[in-house]
Amino acid sequence: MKLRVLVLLLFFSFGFHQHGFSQNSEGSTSVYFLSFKHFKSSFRKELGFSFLSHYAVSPVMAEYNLVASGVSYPQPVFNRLFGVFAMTYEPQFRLMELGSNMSISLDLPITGALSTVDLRTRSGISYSTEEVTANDISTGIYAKERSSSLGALNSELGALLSLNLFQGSTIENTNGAGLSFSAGVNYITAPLMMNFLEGYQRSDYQGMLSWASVVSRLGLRFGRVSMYYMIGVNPTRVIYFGDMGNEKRTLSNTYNRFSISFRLGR
Amino acid sequence: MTRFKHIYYVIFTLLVLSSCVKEVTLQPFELPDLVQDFVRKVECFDQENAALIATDGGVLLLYGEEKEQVILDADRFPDLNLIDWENTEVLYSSATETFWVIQDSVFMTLDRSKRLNIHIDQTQFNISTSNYFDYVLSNEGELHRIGFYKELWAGSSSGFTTDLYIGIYKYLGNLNNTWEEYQTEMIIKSDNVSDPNSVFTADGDLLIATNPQYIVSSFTKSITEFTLIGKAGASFDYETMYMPYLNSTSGRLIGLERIPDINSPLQNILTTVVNENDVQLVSLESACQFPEFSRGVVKLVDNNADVARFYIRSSSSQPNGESNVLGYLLSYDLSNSNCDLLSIQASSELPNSSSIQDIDVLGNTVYIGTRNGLFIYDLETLAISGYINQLLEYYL
Repeated sequence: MKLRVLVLLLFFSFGFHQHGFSQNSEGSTSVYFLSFKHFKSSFRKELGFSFLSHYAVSPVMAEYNLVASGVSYPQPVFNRLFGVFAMTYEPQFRLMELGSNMSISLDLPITGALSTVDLRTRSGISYSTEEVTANDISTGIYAKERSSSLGALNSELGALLSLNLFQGSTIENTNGAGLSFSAGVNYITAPLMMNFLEGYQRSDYQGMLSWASVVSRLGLRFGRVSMYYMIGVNPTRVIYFGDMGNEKRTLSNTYNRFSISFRLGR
Repeated sequence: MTRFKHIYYVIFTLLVLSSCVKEVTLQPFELPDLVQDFVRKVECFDQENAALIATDGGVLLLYGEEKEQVILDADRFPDLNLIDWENTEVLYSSATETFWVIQDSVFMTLDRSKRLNIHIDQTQFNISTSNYFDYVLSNEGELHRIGFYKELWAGSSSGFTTDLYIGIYKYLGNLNNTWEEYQTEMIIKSDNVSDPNSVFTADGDLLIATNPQYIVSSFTKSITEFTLIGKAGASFDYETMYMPYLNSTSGRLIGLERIPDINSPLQNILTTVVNENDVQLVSLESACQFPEFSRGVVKLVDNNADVARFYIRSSSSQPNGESNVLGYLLSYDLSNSNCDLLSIQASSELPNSSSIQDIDVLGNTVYIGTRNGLFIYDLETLAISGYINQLLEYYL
């Protein structure tokens, strides 16, 4: 999958090159690689914000046991986060500049978010890892539920390879607007804070509180301001069955986030 | 215009990305509530990798390494309510993957395809020894009954003894409602008469473990080819051995002196070499050191080569301070008279043996049928759990 995204990026790169972008007066494209000697001219940093526009669903973390008429219908359980407010610090390292209108950069967005986090089924049942005993089963209880959400706050660490065009692509570009296409991985930890009021322990939910999503991102740049929309690109369609045997479908491992960022420094 | 062309790249990208969606399916699985009901019978066929668990709610069949479940709920199969499980004999054929449940004149077959066939046998056996039957499955899975078809006075020199002629009956199935009879010249004296217990050997011969012992190599309507070997035991009268098992490698035949149950534990086992006359009587309690709080051998669990494995039930009331034990698995190796005793430890879920109805072993798992459902004891981890709990852990 990652390879496919890289091929796509190269495809774009090739395509734009064919259309004559970034050519100097002699008709050939100047290529500049990241150099620590002139690091500042290849480095850009941004501070981004999201408000009520940040939603992610993990891969299937567990299965909730819904039993009816002697048949168990496993229901997928996801870690679902809904971001109320998120702040991102994002250093961007331009690895390669092709002329003055195009570059390829490595972007490392680091995000902290005020969010609600819960492990739940699509129908909203909060999943609990509490053990189901023989006594529970004899009384018809086949799975345990939580009464309130699992916790709050989440963090994300991304690693994106971006193709930048026009404004913001190089330090010398003076276009009024620019574009960026990115692809990479976003590692999410959620929640950062367990619901201590209910006494939920992180150790009880080991393996269910972090995951990595393959993402892509579209960015629009206007002066110091950038607008980004990041989306998960490697979702899994989960097919499962309701207690009447009816087929249901849902997507897991999804990511959606819209943010506005401000360039810091040059 | 050039810039509009870039829209194609975006569309192309979206198309490629949309093809990245993987798909997984969470399949429903049957969760047999019946294993929480009163368990009446647990029969495992270790070498064939199959098991039958009968409860008041129905029957659970297990097949293969993966222990595939076949569930026959009594609500959907009301014929199951006809069976008094405690008085049944259960046979299994790996050739047809079919269980045969036999109780008096009721024959029931249950198979992997969830088919249940029941047949009430209308055959009349008029001779006085009609109670003495044995049922055995051939290697092809055909049910045979070994019985007596004729009784004749043995002559004045024999006093009041009679000769009982063994008949072999092959079951023809429900539609025919009959048995095909093969009358033979194999005779048992009435003073030795008992259940003619039998077993098909790996070669397809029928071994009838009476006294004398018969090995039937072929039988047709007109002729039966058999070998007769007289049997005698030192200081005891040998008549027959129950649940015979033949170790085809050593030629040793192992059987029980009688069918044990909870009220009359098994004392002795019988062994003989098929082609020899001598029959040995082995007292298990003398040969092995029985645990202090035991109620004796109540079940033959299985035979494998020369090793016979038994369930020893423990006393339900053990003194305070003693760790509670649900019972013991006694392995007795006939080749060297070695005994190995393995205790099945109680747990909070199953604190004592009082509720245990039946027990058997499949692979490394002891299936424990109780009044409160089916439990599993793992012989590797020595942990006990409710069957349904383990099922949830397995699937989820």
